[in-house]
Amino acid sequence: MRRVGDPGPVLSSGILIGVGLGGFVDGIVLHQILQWHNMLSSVRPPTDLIAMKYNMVWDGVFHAFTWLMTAAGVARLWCAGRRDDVAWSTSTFVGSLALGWGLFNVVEGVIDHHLLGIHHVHPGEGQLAWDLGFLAFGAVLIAVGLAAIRRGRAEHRAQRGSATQRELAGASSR
Amino acid sequence: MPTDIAGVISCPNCDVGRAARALVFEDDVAFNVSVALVPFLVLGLIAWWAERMGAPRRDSAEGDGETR
Repeated sequence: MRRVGDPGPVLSSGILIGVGLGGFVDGIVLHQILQWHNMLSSVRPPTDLIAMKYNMVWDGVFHAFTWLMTAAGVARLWCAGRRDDVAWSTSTFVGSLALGWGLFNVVEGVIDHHLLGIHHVHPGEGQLAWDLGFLAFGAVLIAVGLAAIRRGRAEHRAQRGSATQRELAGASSR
Repeated sequence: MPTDIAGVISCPNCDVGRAARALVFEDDVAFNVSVALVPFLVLGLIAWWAERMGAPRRDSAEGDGETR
């Protein structure tokens, strides 16, 4: 008999895919559509075409790492799908996606915006407020993600409880 | 050095493209790659740690796991 109840693979794959999707939101929306910043826009501000293309190279490197995180998450999820001891829960998976996106904002924000200062969310007047807002949005996503993961765990426990009761009822009637 | 749109027409092998690539390699490429990589390494470690934390412990799994 095999046991089910390991939420670990769903958690880790959800976090990795969430990090990837959060990174793509940053890259697509903030770097490309709004053009607020680029990967090294505080190192070499994109004020002419050469500096712009220089930043496009490093945006490409950023997107390559984002793609690798997403691919790692999909691979992890595929491996989890081949196991029969994994606790599958929509709440856990969706919560992990939100947690991954929030962690991306917080980790990338702290390292790139505050510690290294290689770019800021919206450089110029009030850039600190934008950077702090980016972190706050990440913190909200982390809180939402953790709440969903807790709900998934509670749902899984309730399912296990009712399954055990059914087993006991079946054994006593035999 | 052309920096207007006319200089881009023959890219990727135009003066602007060559100048931008040269600028990339003038800087410390390894350092910039590391800077781009570090947040993702930290996040990968967090995902690995979450998987370890999510797994039921061997001693509690005996009484905790559902059978199927």
